[in-house]
Amino acid sequence: MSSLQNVRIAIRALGTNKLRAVLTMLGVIIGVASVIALVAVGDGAQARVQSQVAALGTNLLQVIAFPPRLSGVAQAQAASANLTLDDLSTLAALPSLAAVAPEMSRGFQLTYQRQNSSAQVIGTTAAYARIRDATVAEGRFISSADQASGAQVAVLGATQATNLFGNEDPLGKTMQINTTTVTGSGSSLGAAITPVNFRVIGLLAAKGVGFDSPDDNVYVPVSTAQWRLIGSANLRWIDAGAVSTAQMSTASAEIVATLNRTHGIKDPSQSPYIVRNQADILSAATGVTQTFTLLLSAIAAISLVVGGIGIMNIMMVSVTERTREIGIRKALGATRGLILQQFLVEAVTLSVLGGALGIASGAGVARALSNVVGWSAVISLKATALAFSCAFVMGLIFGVYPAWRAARLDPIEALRYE
Amino acid sequence: MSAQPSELVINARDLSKVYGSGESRVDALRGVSLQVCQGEFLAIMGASGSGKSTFMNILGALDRPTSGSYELLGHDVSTLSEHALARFRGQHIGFIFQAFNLLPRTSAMENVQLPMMYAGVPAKERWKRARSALARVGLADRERHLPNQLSGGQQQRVAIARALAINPALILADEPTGNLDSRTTLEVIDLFRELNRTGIPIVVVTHEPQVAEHTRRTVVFQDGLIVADQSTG
Repeated sequence: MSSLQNVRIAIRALGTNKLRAVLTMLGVIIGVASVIALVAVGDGAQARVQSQVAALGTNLLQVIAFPPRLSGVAQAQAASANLTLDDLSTLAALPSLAAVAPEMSRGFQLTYQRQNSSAQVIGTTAAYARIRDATVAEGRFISSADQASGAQVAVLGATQATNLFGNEDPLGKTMQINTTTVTGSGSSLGAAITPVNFRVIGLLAAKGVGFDSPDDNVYVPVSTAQWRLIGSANLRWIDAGAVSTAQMSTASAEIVATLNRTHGIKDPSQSPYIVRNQADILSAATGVTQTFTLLLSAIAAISLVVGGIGIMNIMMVSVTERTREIGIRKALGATRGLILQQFLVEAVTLSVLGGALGIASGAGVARALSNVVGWSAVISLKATALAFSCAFVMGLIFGVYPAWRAARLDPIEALRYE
Repeated sequence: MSAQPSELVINARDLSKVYGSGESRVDALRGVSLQVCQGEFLAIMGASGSGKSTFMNILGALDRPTSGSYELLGHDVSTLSEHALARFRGQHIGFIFQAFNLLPRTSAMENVQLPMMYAGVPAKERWKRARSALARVGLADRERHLPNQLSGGQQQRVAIARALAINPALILADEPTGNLDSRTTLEVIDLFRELNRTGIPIVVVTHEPQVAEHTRRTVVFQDGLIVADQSTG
């Protein structure tokens, strides 16, 4: 009596009651399908976040100023907590940094003739392209001359170029960035929209998909952004490129020390300056998606267990219904072990078949979901193998008790069963 | 008993079987001894509750006696483990039941092969033996039929083929004609007689004198004891 023969017996036994078998498998199918689909969508989200962070550029450090908090209340020593272009030149002198670029940004409406679009306008300098690994597809990036003169020139991300110019070549064209100023006071409060002309000098190569993509941005000289668009000298943050990956921690320490010194902060624990590296950004971003994946997987695992209980239930019924068959088999020489094996194989066949169908439908659901959420679902071999082996183990665990009940039946009693 | 000890197939000595204990104690067998030789055709008769079914279960290695010894082909069956008992009956005992007990939705061919599957007979050999056993009971043209496509007599003949195919040391038939009409009863009895002529000992439990008439020895049970043992043929 081989296991293969037992598999054939199991398939035939299940085949005699197909509807029941399918209904029993449904629990496992739903469980496995949800594991596959949810993990695929979660993994897809994570992969997207990772590629977005990778698109930020290598060896990137972000310097941010936070007002120090005491008892949860922001301290009003604002002046010393800001980052300015002076800080930028101070940091540029650090030997551990290859390049530094300022970044200030705000969302604006852009217009070109009758087209309009909204974009994050980023004020920065020539070094930005190098630090962020941005490739200029056409024209050029912001130069130091543009920065020095406060030129009204703009570089467009790939998506913005098509949004605003369609099939036209944007190079050399003049577009408007519409600034909004608050006018009047009290009841006559209003907003005035002032379009500011910018000449397009360059287009960036496409970098990636998803929201918050650099392809959606528009880049202008930081001096122009300060005086013509945002009206503030404060930078949002400073991007700093470390000389090498090995130098990143040294660079972080030097940046904070230098800023503390120039801003007269004696107590390092009171420092408003924070340096984030790519790993920090990545772990913050992936932490969220991991929690999301974990939560959904837990729900899916519960439904898998429920499916397992369904199998156990139907196997118990099946053992009772087939008491006489078990008696015949035992009289004809089947040992307890062989009967146990037969019913265990039947339970595992149910769960494995359910698992296989679940993987197939899970892949389908993942594909459908990826269209809804807007990022591609990644069906990993790991999740597939895990869900499948879970289904297998579930069949074993929930099949053992009914099979054991069948195996220990007394052949004489079982033969008498009507 | 004129048989030589080497021809002895069944040697049961002083078998007793007790179910329950205390108030609910039932003595199903109270010391039964029986010797059956090679080539015997034996009928066991008795009212219900006389202990004949219990005795058959022990003969068939489905159950163990509370005390006494039972040797089948020189093996002491009364001391075998449950696992060993299952293997032993699968290899040496051909069962025939009143209710035929064929597996439903399973062809005649596969039903006949079932005990050989449990005994680990290789597939090729199994097919050969099953085919010749079915031919021997006159069902060569019914190999692929399912039990519900066969008449009662045909089903019982499939069961006989199933018992034959393992080359049993003993065929045990429990009321084999109880569900059959008188014509098919005769067919089945003729088949038994023919098999018996080839030397296989057959023990038939029956309450039909018509069946017992065709056997060569009749043993009568009453209250857990053998009360009569006479040669008839």
